[in-house]
Amino acid sequence: MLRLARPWAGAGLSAEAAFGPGDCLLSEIAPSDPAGEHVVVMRGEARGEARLLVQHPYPRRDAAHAPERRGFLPRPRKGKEAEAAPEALAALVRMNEVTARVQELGEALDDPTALWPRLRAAWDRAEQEEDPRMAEIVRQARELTPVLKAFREHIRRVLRRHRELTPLDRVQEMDRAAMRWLSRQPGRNTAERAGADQRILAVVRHQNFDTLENRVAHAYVRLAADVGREWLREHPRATGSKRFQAVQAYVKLCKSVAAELADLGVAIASVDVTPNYVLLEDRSYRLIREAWEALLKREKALDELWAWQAQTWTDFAVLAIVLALHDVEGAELIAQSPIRFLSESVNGLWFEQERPIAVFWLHRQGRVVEVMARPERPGTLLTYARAHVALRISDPLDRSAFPHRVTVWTPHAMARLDLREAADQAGLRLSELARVTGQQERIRHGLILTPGHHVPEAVSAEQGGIFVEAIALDGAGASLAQGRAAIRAFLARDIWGAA
Amino acid sequence: MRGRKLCGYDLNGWCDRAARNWCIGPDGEEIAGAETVHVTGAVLQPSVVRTGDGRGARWIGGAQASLAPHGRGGGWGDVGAPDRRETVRALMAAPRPATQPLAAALAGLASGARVCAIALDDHQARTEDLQEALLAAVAQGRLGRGLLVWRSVLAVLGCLAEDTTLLAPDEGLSLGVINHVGEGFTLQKLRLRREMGRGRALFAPERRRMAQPIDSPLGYAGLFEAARAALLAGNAGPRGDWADHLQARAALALGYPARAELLRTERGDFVQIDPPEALALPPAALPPEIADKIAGCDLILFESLTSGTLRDALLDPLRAACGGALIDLPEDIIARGALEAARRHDEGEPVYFDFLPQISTIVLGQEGARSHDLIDPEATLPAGRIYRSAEPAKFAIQAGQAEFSVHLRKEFAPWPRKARVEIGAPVSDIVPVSLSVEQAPAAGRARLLIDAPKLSRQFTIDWEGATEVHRPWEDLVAELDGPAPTIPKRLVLPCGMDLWEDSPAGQGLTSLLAQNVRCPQIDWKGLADKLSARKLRRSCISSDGEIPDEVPAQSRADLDALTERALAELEDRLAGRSDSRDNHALKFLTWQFRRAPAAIPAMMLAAWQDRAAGRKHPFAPLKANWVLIYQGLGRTCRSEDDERMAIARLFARPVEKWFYRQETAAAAFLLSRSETAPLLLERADVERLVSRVMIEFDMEHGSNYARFNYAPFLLGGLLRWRLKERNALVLGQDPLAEELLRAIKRTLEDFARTRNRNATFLRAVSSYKPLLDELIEELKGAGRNPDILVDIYEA
Repeated sequence: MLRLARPWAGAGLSAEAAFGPGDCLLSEIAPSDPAGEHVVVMRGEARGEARLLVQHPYPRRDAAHAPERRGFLPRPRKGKEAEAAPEALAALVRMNEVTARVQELGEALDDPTALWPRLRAAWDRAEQEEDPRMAEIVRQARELTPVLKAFREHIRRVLRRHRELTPLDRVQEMDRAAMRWLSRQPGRNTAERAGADQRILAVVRHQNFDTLENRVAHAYVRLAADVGREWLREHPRATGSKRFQAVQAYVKLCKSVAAELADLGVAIASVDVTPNYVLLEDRSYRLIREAWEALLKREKALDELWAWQAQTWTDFAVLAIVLALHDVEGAELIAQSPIRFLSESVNGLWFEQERPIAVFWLHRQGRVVEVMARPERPGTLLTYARAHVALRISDPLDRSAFPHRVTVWTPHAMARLDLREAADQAGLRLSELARVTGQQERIRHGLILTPGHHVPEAVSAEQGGIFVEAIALDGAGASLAQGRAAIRAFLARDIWGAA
Repeated sequence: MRGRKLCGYDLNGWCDRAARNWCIGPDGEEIAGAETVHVTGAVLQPSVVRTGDGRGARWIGGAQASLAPHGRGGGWGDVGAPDRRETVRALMAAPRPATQPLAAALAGLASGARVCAIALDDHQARTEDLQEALLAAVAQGRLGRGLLVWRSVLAVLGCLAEDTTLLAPDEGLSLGVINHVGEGFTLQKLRLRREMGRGRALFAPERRRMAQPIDSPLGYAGLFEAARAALLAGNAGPRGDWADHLQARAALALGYPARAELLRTERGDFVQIDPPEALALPPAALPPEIADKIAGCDLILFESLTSGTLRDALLDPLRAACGGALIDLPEDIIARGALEAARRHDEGEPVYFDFLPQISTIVLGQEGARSHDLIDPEATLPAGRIYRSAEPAKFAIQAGQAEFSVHLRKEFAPWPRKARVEIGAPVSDIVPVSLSVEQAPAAGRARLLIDAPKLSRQFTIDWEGATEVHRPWEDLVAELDGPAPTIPKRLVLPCGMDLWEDSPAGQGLTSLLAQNVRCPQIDWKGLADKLSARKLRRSCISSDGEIPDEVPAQSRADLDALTERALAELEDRLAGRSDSRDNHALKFLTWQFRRAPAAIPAMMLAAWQDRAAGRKHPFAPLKANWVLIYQGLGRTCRSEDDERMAIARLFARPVEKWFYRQETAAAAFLLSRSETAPLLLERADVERLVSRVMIEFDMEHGSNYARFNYAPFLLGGLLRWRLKERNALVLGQDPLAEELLRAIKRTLEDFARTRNRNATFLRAVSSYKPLLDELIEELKGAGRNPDILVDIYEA
């Protein structure tokens, strides 16, 4: 088992070293190796041996075993953002941005005849931060504000029966226990038994707000306030937009309703309640419960998304490349396996797709390029390169020419990568691979797509006719715009091979 | 409040589209509402592909499937296996379309709607199986509430939904719609109806028949074939069916610009295919009769998926023929129309009105077998509404049957079918059942329901499981009809000279008349006895009141004179001028049968009336006298009015209280001797008379059958009711016949008893047994003795 800080690294971590926040959490293993928590991203083969490239998740706390991971920032918990490290909050924002870009693929699939133009439009929009995109909390801010206001006016209550010492003239109802109590009191008649203060035990009814449905409403307003606050924090540049203001007002409303409910003594529902009749049938309560469940689902997914950010990042990078290929002049998408978008992410993956991911015919260049991600049969060189994304470029009309590949690394680490170092080392790796004999397909160039921590950058390194471009980009704003431009620029370079 | 999501599908297998009332903006905002119409791009030559294997396998359709390398050959690796791809066209043409791929084909265009409408060619080849499969696919794919609407109707709905009025709608406006379909074209005539929608008036088309199909090589199938040939001619592609997969084929066929395409061979190489500029039209112009067939319509709508020059080439001859009345509809009009249909369906507004194909069955009724239409031919039904037969076909399952069969005919099926329905266990009794139809327009097969309330059960008839009967429907009806059941002849007792003439046994009637006419004291008894006597099965006066021709004129005059005197005597008694208690004069008159004066029946009826009212009557000082009064009416009654009155007065007394020699005899006489009396009976009357017969059969059970004579006589008379109801009292068709058969069989068993046999009994058995056997034959409807009534009378 070879634990790797960078995919292109020549050597693994030493036996006692642990993965840290600056590492990519990748390992190269044999199928029989115990690798701890992982998913296989590529099943390669080199010299007749199977080699698996696996991705390990980020730990849920600061450290985890199997494989050893230490010094990580824990994910900021809902409602405890104040305690979280600013780096962790920034990482959460980046993760949400990337996730949103991938989810936009699901929305674009609403009309598959215009899948890529729609996705491009959505991403173009994401480059402007002044007008944030639709989100669940924005929708709820819009649709549930009247519901919450109506709810506030008519909070359901029940009358609960208690036994209390009640003045004789106020007694309306007595039960067995009250009568038994009365019979035990000393005295010859009721007045004597009522004692000095003339009170006897009797049943009284008090109104009570602590019902299941109100607890759910309470849990919801608290959660919605937290989610809303998080959303506001993540869109600091959108303060002028209508959506921002709507969410802001909604957070305020939620907070005040939460305070009222707390005053009324309403507890907070646990997440696993079974809805009662009111929650199922009463319109206000039903809408509140549905909104609560939608937010809860998102919260539940966050842990997993946090752990498997690197996987989501790979999908994001692949989408960025496909979109950039669309923008190449004279490019025509000729084949693409159907995409099935999932309602919940599985190990950071939001959609399922068979191979090929996308095949373009570049009329201008006279090339066919296939975008490969997590390929099923990567071949020897990609296995050595440890790149689970690649472009396979061939000349469709010249059968004598062998195709070549452009490797794409999508390294994801909690700390920002040094692009210069990455490009140099990756270039070194590629030039080593150029010397591997007995291979028909060659790897010509390389591309590194890595999170930019909102400092977009593009660095190129060239070594022996092979160049590697390292691009740091993010899921929103200027960093997305510049990153996409850099990818387009990379595709405009001479990577297509001699005609 | 956001509107509900609606979707209209134009799933045709050539160039699919969907129109929806919502879309998701680039910022993730969902825009939905009445004014939003979002038409998806066209999917040319649509197909569905299967991804995954085993349990993870699923079908995907729409634009994603068009781009998918699945099923495009081994050059694409494992996914290229041909069984991973299926064209929508092939799916829809299959005899039993698979629902899962169809659902994928629809969902691939759009999904998430609450209500959707799907276009269906107005062509007979779009079978009920396809309709059912489409509706099942909508359910399986969770595409909302689905409605199938004919293409011709959608073209009109699409126009009505457009803001820019393509046509000015008006009540009764007749529209000719030409739809381009795979086989060629279809012609439909629709009429606009002004209906009330939700708080507003709107127009809905009405469809009154199937569209006329016009087969042509210009249909999509022909165009696609021509495009394929053009591609094959211009390119040397790899082996196999490469030309079928090209988008360029569909583009050429439908007149869209075709672009160069890369094909992947089995080895993974690419081959470039350069399509020709445009398709040369197949050498067949639009059939010239089209214009004639839709002449008379106010407007003519032309709908086709083609575009560009190809469309113009199709349209030009039509334009020339139809002139300004022709409206050329945009290519996406069907999808838009389907969205409008979904909107109307969602809001409960009338989408369109449709006729239903006729379904008939054969009913064996009282008038014999006849074809029964289960659908009112005038019925037009709003889309989505279920039609139930207003008049279910009624018939009965016979006792002892564990299954029964029903003949059915559908309007568009080539042959009628015979369906067997298993009951499970033999029924112990006759079970009345009703057969009805439940069907909604363009929603697949009709449900044929048999309701048997007596068994508390419902059966469904499986049309597919029924066996085809390769004979015309009319022949079937005629065959089931069979020969008409036999009807016993009217009873006529003949007259003869034997009793008129003197004989060694005594004086003849001639002498008696001559003797009495001169006497002041008339021997009424002697006369009456002579008249009522029979010799050699002949009486003096026939039961129709005729006298033998040989009777001398003097005797006739004597008879008339005596008749007058007898009548006068009766009138004296009625008026109280005479207190005679002798009824022989009356007897003398009634035995003249219909020759008796017309006043006699009236007198008898008046007497009945008095009896019913509890008054005494001078003719009936004794109870026994009533026999003569009742039977006398039976003998002398001749006019229809008297018969009607007699029947009414008979039934004024409950049949349980009848006396066999009085009411039973009178009824038997009336029914057996008159042409008209049986026709006056209603079913309820017959049921009462049958119950009287049953009572008398029962009463005599175990006795010597001394009072039995009138029960078989009445039964025989009742059979003459078949003059009115053809199949009445026929075994297997009339439950009453079964009861009668049971009674007769019981009596026949009693005849074979071993105890209490005496001479009287044996005499009764010997005379009645053959008669009862013959009556059984009559109940079967196949009597061999037409004179059975005479025989019963003689017995």
